[in-house]
Amino acid sequence: MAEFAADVPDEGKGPPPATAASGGGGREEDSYPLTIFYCGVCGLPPEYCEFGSTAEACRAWAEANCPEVLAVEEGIAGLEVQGDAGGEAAGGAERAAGGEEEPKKKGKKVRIAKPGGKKAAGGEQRVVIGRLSRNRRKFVTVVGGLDTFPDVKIKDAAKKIGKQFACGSSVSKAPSGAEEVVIQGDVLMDLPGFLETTLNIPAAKISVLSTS
Amino acid sequence: MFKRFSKDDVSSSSQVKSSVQRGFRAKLLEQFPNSEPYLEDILPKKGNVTIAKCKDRVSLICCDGVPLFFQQRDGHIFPTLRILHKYPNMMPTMRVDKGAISFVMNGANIMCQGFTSKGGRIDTPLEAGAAVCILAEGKKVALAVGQTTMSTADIQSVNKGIGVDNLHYLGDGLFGTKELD
Repeated sequence: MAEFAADVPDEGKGPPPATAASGGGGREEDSYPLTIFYCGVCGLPPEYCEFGSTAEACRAWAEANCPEVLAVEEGIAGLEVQGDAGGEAAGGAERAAGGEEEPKKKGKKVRIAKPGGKKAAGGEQRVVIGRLSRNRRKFVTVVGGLDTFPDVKIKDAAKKIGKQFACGSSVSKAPSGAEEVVIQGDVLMDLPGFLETTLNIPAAKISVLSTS
Repeated sequence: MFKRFSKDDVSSSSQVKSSVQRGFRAKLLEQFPNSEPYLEDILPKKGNVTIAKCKDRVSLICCDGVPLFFQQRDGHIFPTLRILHKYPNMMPTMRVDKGAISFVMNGANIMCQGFTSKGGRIDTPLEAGAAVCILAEGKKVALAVGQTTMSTADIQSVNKGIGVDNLHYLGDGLFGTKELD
């Protein structure tokens, strides 16, 4: 299986080592697992980028990050295909949530909507904190938009918050489909500081909705 | 099978007992004898192996949250493409011509002509129902994972209709799911 042995470098970032540039020459039988390198824009192996829905963006990315791959590709390019726009979009959103090598994609923003039709905050990265009342005298604090931060694991974040404030804290789905953290208790005042210190979310990107 | 798959389609995920793990390893070895030297790397004994159940009785076998294999009902086990990219020679391969790539990446099953035309190739004779890794003309890494619906001899002689069921392909939901929580 000679065509497989072409070693492809580290996933995601960084220029590939020289061996990859040859793209097909090196036969490295014993070095499994091969390190496969996926496009930073669409997540496909670069040679399949042209079949994705973001071929141009991928190309730009490849030029910036791994010109060698493009050189290998030159001979093959030709088929221009629209690809599965729908599937790709879904995949894109997921990957954004899963976090990793996603940030360049425009137009695939995850919209954050507050429950109960409250005002939605657009923008790339923004955490919105709101407070809802329950039974008039009890409150839940809702944190939306954590999934726009690639290095925040939303489930872990919920757990940490619960631990910090000694209250129930869970991840739930907003009607819009975005995930949000629901905290049982009124921690509206203390939360921004905690998000800053523990989750490294810059204060400028946190907005607190004053309760209504 | 995984076209619209996402993390939310996992209905339950549970840790498996070590005895089940052992059985699973044995099954893997039986189905992919070539993977033997790497099995420990793919599915480390120390790893936290979980089985995630999804709709249509599909289960994903994960190690430390990373989906490694999938299986429908009690059927054949298939590796995910990310695994297959790392260990490309664990499965028999078939190659489709260039024209088929876009369709396959849209989830289409693979027609016989894709294999019998000029760019296609059938490397090893296979029975119907075998797991096969689909490569593409001019590309180095695997395009899809499928299961033959007829034997390779039939594919060549009949040369009509679906030859390989496309189970998992580049760009589908499972490929986009790098990790489950």
